[in-house]
Amino acid sequence: MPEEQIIREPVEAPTPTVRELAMVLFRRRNAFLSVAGTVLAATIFYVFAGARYQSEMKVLVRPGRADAPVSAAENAPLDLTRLAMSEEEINSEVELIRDDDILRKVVRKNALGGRDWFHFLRLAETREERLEREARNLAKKLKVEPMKKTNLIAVSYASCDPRQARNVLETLANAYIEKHAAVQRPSGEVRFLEQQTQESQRQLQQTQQKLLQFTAAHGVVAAAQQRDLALQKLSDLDASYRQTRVEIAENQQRVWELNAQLSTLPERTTTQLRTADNPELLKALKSELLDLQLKRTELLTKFESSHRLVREADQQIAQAQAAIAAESHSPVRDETTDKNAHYEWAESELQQAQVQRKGLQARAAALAVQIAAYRSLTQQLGEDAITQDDLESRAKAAQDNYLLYVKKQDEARMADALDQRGIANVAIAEEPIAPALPVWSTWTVLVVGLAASSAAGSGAAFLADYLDPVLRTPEDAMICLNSPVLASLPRNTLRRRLV
Amino acid sequence: MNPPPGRTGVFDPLFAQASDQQCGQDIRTLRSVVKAWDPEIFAREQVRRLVRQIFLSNSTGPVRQVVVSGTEPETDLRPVCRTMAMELARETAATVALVGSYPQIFPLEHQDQKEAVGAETIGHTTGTQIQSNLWMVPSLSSREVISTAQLISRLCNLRRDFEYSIVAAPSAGESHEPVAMAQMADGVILVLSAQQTRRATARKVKQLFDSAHVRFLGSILCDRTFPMPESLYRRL
Repeated sequence: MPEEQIIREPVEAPTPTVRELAMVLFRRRNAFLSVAGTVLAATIFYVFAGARYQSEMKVLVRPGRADAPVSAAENAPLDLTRLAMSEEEINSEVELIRDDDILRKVVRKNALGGRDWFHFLRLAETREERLEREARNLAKKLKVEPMKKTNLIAVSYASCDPRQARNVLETLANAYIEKHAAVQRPSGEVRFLEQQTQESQRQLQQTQQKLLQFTAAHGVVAAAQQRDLALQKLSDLDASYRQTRVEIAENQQRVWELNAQLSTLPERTTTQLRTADNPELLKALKSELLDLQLKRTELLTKFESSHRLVREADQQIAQAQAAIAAESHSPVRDETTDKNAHYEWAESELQQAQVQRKGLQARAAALAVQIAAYRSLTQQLGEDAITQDDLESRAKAAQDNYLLYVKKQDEARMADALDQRGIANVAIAEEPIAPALPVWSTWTVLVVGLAASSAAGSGAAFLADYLDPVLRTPEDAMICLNSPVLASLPRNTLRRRLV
Repeated sequence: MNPPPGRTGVFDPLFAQASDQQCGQDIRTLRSVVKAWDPEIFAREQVRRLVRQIFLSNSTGPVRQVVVSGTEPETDLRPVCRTMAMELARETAATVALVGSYPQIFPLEHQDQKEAVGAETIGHTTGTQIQSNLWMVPSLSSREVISTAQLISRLCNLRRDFEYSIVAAPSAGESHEPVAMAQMADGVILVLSAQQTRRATARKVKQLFDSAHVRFLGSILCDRTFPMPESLYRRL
């Protein structure tokens, strides 16, 4: 329906044009001018009175020298595996720079603070309160940032006075390096090591004194070695004793054997035995035999063989023959005897053995006595060796401790000396200087201020217009009532009277 | 002349001033023609358009009796209604009645219609002829408190006695009469003040009319200001 098209036509909020935006600014020019003017005035004031001079410095953090760690080990290995600083270490240094202690030092030394616009509100403020407040202000103004992918920390500080900016950073750098050296090394390390050195030295002297007393009291120099020697000797003596006993047994057996030999051996031995016939006897016998035989023959001539005389002759012949046979079979032995060498030898040996046995027995007895003595000595020396070893080990340990602490003390002193000379793992890579130019140039500030004032003024104008509940334009009326605006009449028009 | 897309060119003073003369021309050419902007001419042109659009246009349907009301009592409807009536009387030969409180014609101390200067009765309505086809009728409830029935009766008389009638009603925010009158009339036009009318108030008044099923013809935004200099306005 046509009337619905007019009356009920939906109205969409049109996109504002430049003209309409400009109209808002002109409509709210009071708000725009007041806000923009304020911002511009602040900008001009900043240009002439608030220019900031920023001084910068850079701190280089290195892995640095590898101090020997404080440990009981004599040669505690240095940590050489860390070739780069970790992010945590750099951040730790950053926080150290921001340390409240350091900031307070900087505030004190540079006399920061002073009278400001609100000093009258702090008339009752104490010195400590002022110091803390200034330290907090300094912390806010100080920019400390680690530079990415580097071991550098950038520190900057801005102030109205360029020299103050530089002085603040210089003081900060010095205070930071001192603090860094103090926290990097455990406090009181040298003193601690000195005390430990003295203590270890005292203990060393005590143990050495005990050792000397022991040595003097027991008359041993090196009980262990003496014990070993005594043991060796004892072993030798024991071996000798056993050997002696063996020899004694051997000797005894030898004696027995010799006795047995002597009992069996003839005293004299036939040295020469000649067996020969007795020629005369044989001759005689044979002659006799012959005679007999002749006689027999003769007899036979006379008598019968059974004759007595013949038989007697036969007997005589038989006897002669037997005698001859016997004589043949029993030659004349010419036996020459002499002393049996074996017997003599055996006897001699026996005598030697007996003598030797006496010696061996005496020797064995002596060895037994020596063995007993050495055994006792060895036992005593063993005990002494244990005691002496214990004392020596204590002395050695005390000496090791003493030497260790002496070495650690020297290392700590060396590290302190290096720290005092600033040879640490941090260095000021870029010294702060007093800047000649402010952070923002005058023209830049003015341009930025102009832009900011325009933006602020515009924002204020648009905000005022937005918050204005009054209908100003036909578009507002259309959107508000969702109906067309039939006419838009300027102010103070159509005032002419009818009549 | 067609306004730029998305814009109601009728509210552009430059467009409005030259619209009758430069129909169909380019905007740049149009702007070059306009030398200086006269707010009075612009206002009258706006009213003329309104009259043509409301009373003389076939697209809106027959509108013969219109109630004009404001949102605040401070909003002066008289210049608007007067100009509307004059323009309508100029545009048409039909009789036009302007209903409202005009002290110069109907002094407050002489609200008795019979005592008004030049008052005459047209049918059941008493009014003063201003122009050949324009009558000024006193406000329907200027002195006396009348009932709704009487109000309706008077409106009916107006409709019967005049071809067109423009009724200036009291503030719709403070009185129920505009709603009652608009229900009897062919529609209501709400007058808004660019310096005073709040969005909430306007919205509330419109809701009153909508809830009463009143035909809302549109609104008139008066007391407008143009803070931007003309030269800059032209360039933008």
